[in-house]
Amino acid sequence: MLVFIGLGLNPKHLNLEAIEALKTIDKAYLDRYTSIIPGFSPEILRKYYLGELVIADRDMLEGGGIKRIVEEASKMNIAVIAPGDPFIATTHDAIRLEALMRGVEVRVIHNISIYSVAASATGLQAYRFGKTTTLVYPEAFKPYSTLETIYGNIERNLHTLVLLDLKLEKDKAMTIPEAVEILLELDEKEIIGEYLAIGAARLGSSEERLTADKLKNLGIYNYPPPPHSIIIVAKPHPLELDALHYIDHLPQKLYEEYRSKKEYP
Amino acid sequence: MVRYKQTAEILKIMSNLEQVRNIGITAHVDHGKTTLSDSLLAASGIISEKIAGQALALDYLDVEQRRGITVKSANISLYHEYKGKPYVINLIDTPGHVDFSAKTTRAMRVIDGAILVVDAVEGVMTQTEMYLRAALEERVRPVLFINKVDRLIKELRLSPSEIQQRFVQIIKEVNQLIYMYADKEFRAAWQLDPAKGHVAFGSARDRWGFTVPMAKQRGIKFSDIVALYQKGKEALPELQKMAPLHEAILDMVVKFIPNPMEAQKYRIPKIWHGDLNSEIGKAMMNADPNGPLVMLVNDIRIDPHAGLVATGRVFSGTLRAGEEVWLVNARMKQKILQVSLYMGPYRELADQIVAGNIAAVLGLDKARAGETVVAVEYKDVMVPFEKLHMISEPVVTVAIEPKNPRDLPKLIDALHKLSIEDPSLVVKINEETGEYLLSGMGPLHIEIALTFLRENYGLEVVASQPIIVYRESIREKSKVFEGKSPNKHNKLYISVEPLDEKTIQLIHDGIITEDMDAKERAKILREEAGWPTDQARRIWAIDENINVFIDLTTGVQHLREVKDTIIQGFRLAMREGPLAMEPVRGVKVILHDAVIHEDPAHRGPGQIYPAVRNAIYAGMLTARPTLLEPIQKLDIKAPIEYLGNISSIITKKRGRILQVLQQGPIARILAEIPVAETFDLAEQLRGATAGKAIWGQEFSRWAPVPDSMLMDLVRKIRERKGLKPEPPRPEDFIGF
Repeated sequence: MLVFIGLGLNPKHLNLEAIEALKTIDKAYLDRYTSIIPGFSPEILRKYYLGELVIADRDMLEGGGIKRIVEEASKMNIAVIAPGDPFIATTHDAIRLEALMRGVEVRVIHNISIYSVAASATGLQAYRFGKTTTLVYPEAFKPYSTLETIYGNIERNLHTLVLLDLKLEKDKAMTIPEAVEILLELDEKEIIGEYLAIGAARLGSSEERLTADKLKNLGIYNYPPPPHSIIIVAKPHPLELDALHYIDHLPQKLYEEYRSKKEYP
Repeated sequence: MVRYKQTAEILKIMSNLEQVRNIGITAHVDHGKTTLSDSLLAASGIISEKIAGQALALDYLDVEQRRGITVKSANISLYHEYKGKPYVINLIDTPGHVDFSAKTTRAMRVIDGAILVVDAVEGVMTQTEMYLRAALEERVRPVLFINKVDRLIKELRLSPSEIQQRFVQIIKEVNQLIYMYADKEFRAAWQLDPAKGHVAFGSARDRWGFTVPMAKQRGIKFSDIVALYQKGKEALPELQKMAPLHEAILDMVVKFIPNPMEAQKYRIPKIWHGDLNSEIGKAMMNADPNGPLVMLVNDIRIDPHAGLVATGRVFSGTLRAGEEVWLVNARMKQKILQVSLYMGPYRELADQIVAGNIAAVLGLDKARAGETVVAVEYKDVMVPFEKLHMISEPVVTVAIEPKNPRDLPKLIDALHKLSIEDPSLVVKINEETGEYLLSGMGPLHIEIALTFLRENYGLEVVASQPIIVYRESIREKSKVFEGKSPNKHNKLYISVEPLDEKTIQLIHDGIITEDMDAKERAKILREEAGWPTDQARRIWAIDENINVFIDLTTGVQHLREVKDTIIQGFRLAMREGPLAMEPVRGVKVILHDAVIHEDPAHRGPGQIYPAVRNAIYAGMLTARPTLLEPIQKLDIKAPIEYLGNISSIITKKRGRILQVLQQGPIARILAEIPVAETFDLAEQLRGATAGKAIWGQEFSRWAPVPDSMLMDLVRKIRERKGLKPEPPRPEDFIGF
């Protein structure tokens, strides 16, 4: 059997279903390259799981690694343990499908994902989020599509969750100030700097910090270390505007300004 | 003779072409080329007043000379008075080792005459003949200097009549060669007659020399010279006064080497292949200073202070600082920052240099040796002197390191300069081993480069055995393969097929390039290589090893954003093919369709590169892959009785005889042989012909290795690279 276990966004998100499942697992692969969980270490799993634990890099869970894992899962109980909710980032789709195609039983233990926390933590309405996008370092190519996604959401008056690049193999993670700079650079229409935005550092963890301001100003604040993400806010609903101030720390002055004016941004 | 000159004075002489000569000195190794250049520089080198004014001016030349400055300068200008008239003689550096390479031809194109130096003891040797042939083929008129006559007197103790016999023999041999290699019009006219003064005799080291007319005029008798030598060293100054070397040589040059105006009339039709009746053609034939600017750059050097210095000959028009010019081969406009003339071995600024002269230019940092520089208005009509191959395809590689590890920064610097001065040398760093890899067009080319490092940069290096660089290619069209990214979310549908010979040629010659106008490129490919329109229009990339990437997809979402990543993946795959990780050559890669992940984080290089590579490799492995090996062309000359021996060596070495020509008692054999078989060729040819064979070799083409050798060779290369000996199978790239 192949069991996918979501770890959520902080070490204490490990749920009862997962703890129970771990008792039946013979060998577990821990995905440590798709995201960072602040405060997490493999030792935490050791409390509930004593079998073989493999710290997996990309090669083990992608490409040729896929076949190997499915092959193992046809003989014993294998777990793939990943941050968040296991299939939200699409990274492990190929393993699940390969297993199903080969008749290997698959079980998924869900957890919370940044997709839900982004709404619930900030007070923005989940119904009003448009397409999510990742902002990658403009190294191999200029990621104009990220801006196209933002423009498209703005047009339809929807918020955009912008995930920031993690290059964990290189010990690199994009910060909010870096992202602001890259976004403004790519913004050929020169509009997004004026939009309200939330800098969300370590969402879902005990060190979570939310900072709302105009996007162009987000770079000047201090944040705890990554993972970081940014939410670009479409014209806020009055309740959302209150949330921006009381939850996300939108400065008093801006809060009052937007309460009294109709145009946005 | 006062040689301290103002540049203005020299420029004035240069503006009257009758008082200008452009020459080179050519010799077999150790026959005295450098000694003669040094002697001429010391006696007749122009010294600018600026340098003369410096305190140590007099010692200056001597010190510089001991450091071998004549080797380091692209040109040295000499000053000579003949019959009361001043002359500027440009002594242009020619390659120390002559082969039938572009470098030799190029050097011959900028000179009108050559002083052929022959060692009186050794006589005419291989390189003597090769030089003379190279010169005559470019219509460069030779005069002869028989050097080291002192050795005949002191070492061999020959009698005056025996010495004379030896002279006659050498002159006869040289005249035979002139008859053999010169164009019909010059065979007879350029025969050397010592009585007329076409030949000088002497010793470059002891700095004396004379011609027959000079001996008559001055009353020099050969017996006097023999007698003076018997007196010992103290008598040398007397000898030098009686028969000054520079006078003998330079009189000969002024008298018999044509001035640029005369020379260009009959040389342009030979060395330039454009229309002689065009405006440019006429201007060059007449060395017209008011014609369109045309300059042939024959030498590129990097000056630590000034940067890249391009030296060459102005064939037409006037070179002026501040003007924009067109570089025909580099296809770009550049601005001339400085124009200089040579004062002795040094460059001095000039406002302008007129046609017929040698000039140095700063500012043309995209020019490479062989570049044709032309006035911008003529950029579309100029036929270059030579088409530079923008693509260099190295054939042999050595790994080098400095003997003293502390010299590493110096070596890196020297290698960088070397690869600019000679673009056919390629320097790379092996990122795994940290070794510096130097690649060139053949074993000899590498050897020359290493000598150059030693002599010009004082670097002792340790070099590995030369390794042949093979190419991987295919002989069939593959079906379309699906290349998946590791996360399986990106899929590229790619097929490969061999590029046709015509297209390979067009790319190799720089007619088809990656950055040219796409419409023009499509037109040429359609018309000259028969490409279908859709493919010709949709080229994404052409790499350095002559592979082409074509996009035939329609309406694929996000493709635009991953285009650069796909192209980079293609280049990487072409750098190391699937068979033996050798560079791929002559493959057309076609992208038919693609599926790209929605989010940029999942379609980065880590996902796209493998997807491209997997599809290409699988395609190549099913398309009758093979290795191409470099083939060299040989041009061998030897007495006819050795023909049998030579052909059996060539056959044994997997070679092929293309043609045998008989020239009197000499057979000329044109043949082809794989470079892999040439490492002991010199030894074998000499052994089989009692040392009488001479030959030139140059790169000819790439050819598939025989099928019977292929797998064995693949295994050997893979083992050398630390790979498992068996090459991968197509399934390894598509199976997962």
